[in-house]
Amino acid sequence: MALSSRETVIQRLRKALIHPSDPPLRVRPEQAAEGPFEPLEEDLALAFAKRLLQLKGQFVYAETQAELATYLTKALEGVDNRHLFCLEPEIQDLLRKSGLPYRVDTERMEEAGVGVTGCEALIAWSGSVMVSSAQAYGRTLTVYPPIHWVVARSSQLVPRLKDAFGLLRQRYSDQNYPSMVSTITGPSRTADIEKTLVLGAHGPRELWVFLLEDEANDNS
Amino acid sequence: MSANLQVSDRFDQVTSSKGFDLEHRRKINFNMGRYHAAVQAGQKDYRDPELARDQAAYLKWQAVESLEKHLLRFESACRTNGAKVVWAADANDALEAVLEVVRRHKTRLVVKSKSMATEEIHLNDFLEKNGVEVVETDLGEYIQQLDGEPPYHIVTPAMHKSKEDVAALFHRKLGTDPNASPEALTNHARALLRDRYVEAGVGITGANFLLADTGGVCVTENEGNARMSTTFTKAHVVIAGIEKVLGSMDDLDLLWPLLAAKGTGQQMTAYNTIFHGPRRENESDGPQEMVVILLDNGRTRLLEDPQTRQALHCIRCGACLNACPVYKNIGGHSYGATYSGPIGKVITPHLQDFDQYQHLSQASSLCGSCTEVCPVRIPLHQMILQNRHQAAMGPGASKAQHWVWKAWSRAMLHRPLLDIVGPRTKSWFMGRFVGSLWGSRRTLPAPAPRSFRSLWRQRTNPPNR
Ligand code: SF4
Repeated sequence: MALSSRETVIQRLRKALIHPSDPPLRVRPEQAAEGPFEPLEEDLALAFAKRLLQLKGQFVYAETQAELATYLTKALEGVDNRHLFCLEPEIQDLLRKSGLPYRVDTERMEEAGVGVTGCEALIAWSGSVMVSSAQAYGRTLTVYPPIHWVVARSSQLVPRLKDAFGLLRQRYSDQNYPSMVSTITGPSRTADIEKTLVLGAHGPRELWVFLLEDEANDNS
Repeated sequence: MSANLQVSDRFDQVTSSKGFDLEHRRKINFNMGRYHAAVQAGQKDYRDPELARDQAAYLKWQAVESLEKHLLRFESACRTNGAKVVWAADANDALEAVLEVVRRHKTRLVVKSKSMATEEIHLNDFLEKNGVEVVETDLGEYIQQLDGEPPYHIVTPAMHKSKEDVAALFHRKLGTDPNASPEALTNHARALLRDRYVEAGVGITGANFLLADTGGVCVTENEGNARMSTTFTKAHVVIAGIEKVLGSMDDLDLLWPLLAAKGTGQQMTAYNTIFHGPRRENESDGPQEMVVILLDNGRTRLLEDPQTRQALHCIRCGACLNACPVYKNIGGHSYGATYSGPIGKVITPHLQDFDQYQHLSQASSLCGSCTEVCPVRIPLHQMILQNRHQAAMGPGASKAQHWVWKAWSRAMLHRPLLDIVGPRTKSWFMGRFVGSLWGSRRTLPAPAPRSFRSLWRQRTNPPNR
C-alpha cells in the first residue's frame, strides 16, 4: 500500500536523523545567566517610553483618571476622523469617564478613525505592546483602523519578552492560548522602497500608548 | 546534462551582464548601505552579540537534531488548538492542499503575505492556472508582482529598484503621478489593498517559526499585511518548511530580536504574531479555519548528512546575502533560484537537482563574510566548498573535468616528470587540458621557468657545499 505523505515524511525524518551531529562549538552556557542583551534601565515605564518614542510611537503617562481624560481629549483634537471604536468593557468604561463617545457597530468598522484597546502586556525592553484575540475584536481593532490607541495600566509593564510569555502561560493554561497573540513594536512601517521609512503601510499610521497608574481610581 | 548546461549557461550570461551593469550596482550599494548602517546601530542593544549567536546556534541545532520529535509534538498541539495539519512530501502535495481549502471556501481571491516557501513551490502560478487570483500584500512583493518579476532578495524583495523605478512602474500600471514619493506610493498600495483583505476568502502566510510546545505558528512582519490577511478571511493557510520548528515559545525571547537585528537592523520587527489555531468560541473575530502545511520538498535530503544538516538552522534573515560581495555585483535574480546568495548556493543544489545547480557553488570567492555574519553560525563558506567537492567527485562531474583533474594532479604529484620536459611543455600541457575549463576572464598562470622543487633543492643543497 502506498504511504501517506505524512508517513513518507516521518520515515524520511527518521532515516535522516540516524546519524547525530555534534553541537556547535562556540557554546558558552556559563555566560548564559547574564544573557546577551544590554541590561534594562531601572524604571520600566521610562525604558518603555523611550523605546516607543524612538519607534515614532506616542507615549502619554496619566497619574489619575482625570489626567487620562484630559490627554485623551487632547489627543483626539488632532485627528481627522474622530470615530472611536472600542469593544472592551473596561476600556469603554475609561472612555465614558473621560467623556469620549465611542462606537460598537462592528459591521461598519471601515468607518473607524481610531481603534481603542487594552493589551496583554507592555514590554519595556523593546517598547512593545502585546495584544491578543482574547480581547474583544482583538484581531481587527489592533490593526485595521488608521490610528491605534492602547490604554494600559502600569502593572502591565514587564521587563522583557520572556516575562510577557510567562504572563501568557499563567493567564491561559497550556493549550488555551488566544488564537492570536501579537507583539506590536511601533506603528506599521515599510522600507521596501529604497529603504525609505514610511509609517502606516497596512496597519495603523499612529500608535499611542496611554499608561494609567494603577492606583488611579474613579474619585481621583 | 542538457538541463545542466542550460541553467549554468544562463547563469554565465546573466552574471557577465549584471556584473558590469553600473546602474544596478549603484542601486544595490545604496540600499545595502542603508541596511548596514541600521544593523550597525542595532548592535548597541547587545551586551554580548557573540553570545547571542552562540545561543541561537545552539537552539536551532537542538531543534533540528530532534526534528521528528518536535514536529510530532507540534502537530498534536496544533490540532488541540483546532487547526488542521497537512504533511507535504513535495511541492505538489502542498499545492493540492492549498487548492482544496480554496475550493472548499468557494473563493476566487486569495491574499498572501510574504513567504519564500510559497515562492519555492510556485504557488501563485499554480493558483492562477486554477482560476484563483493571488494578491501579494507585502509592499515589496506587491511591487514585484506588478512588474512580473520574482523577489530579488529574501527579505527585501524589490531591493534592486530605485524610488524612481517604482514610481515609473506604478505610473505605468496604476496611473499614479510619475514622480510620486515613496510615501505617496505606499499610501496608494495601502488604499488599493484594503478592500482586497475584506473580499478575499483565504489568507496565506508563511511561518518564521513553529512552536513544538504550544503548537504556535509565528509570523514576523513590519507592515501589518500578514495581520490583515488573517483577520477578515474565512481560512488561514500556513505553508511552513519543516525546519522552522523550535522547542519552546521561550526561544522567541532570543530569536525574534535576533531575526530583526540581522534582517533589518531593528530591535524588534513591528509585528511578531503567534497564531494558535482559528478563532476560538469565545473570540469575536478571525478565520473559522486554520490549516498548517508542513513542507519537506527536499529538506530531509539536507538532513541526512550531518554536514549539510546545518543549513536547516537558517532563519532566513538575509544577512549573508547582504554581506556577500558576489551577491552585490551579480544581484539576486542571476542565481535563477528561489533562494539566492550564500544560503541559496548551499541549499538549492540539494533542494532541487544537484547537477543543475552545483555551478552556483563555483561562483564564490570563499571570502567567508557570510559565515561571519550568520546569526546561527552556519559555516556557509565551508558548506559551499563541500558542494564543490561533491560536484567534483559525484557522477554529475563532467568526464572532461574528471580526466583533466586526474591528469593534472598526477602531473603535480610527479613533478619530476614535468621537470624533465621544461616549462614550455608544461604550459602546453596545462593550456591544452585545463585552459578550456579555466574561463576566459582568467589567464592561466604560466609555470615558473624553474620549478619550486628545483629551487628548493638548490636552497637546501647549495651547489658550493
Ligand atoms: S544562512 Fe544565516 S545569515 Fe544567511 S539567511 Fe540564513 S540565518 Fe541568515
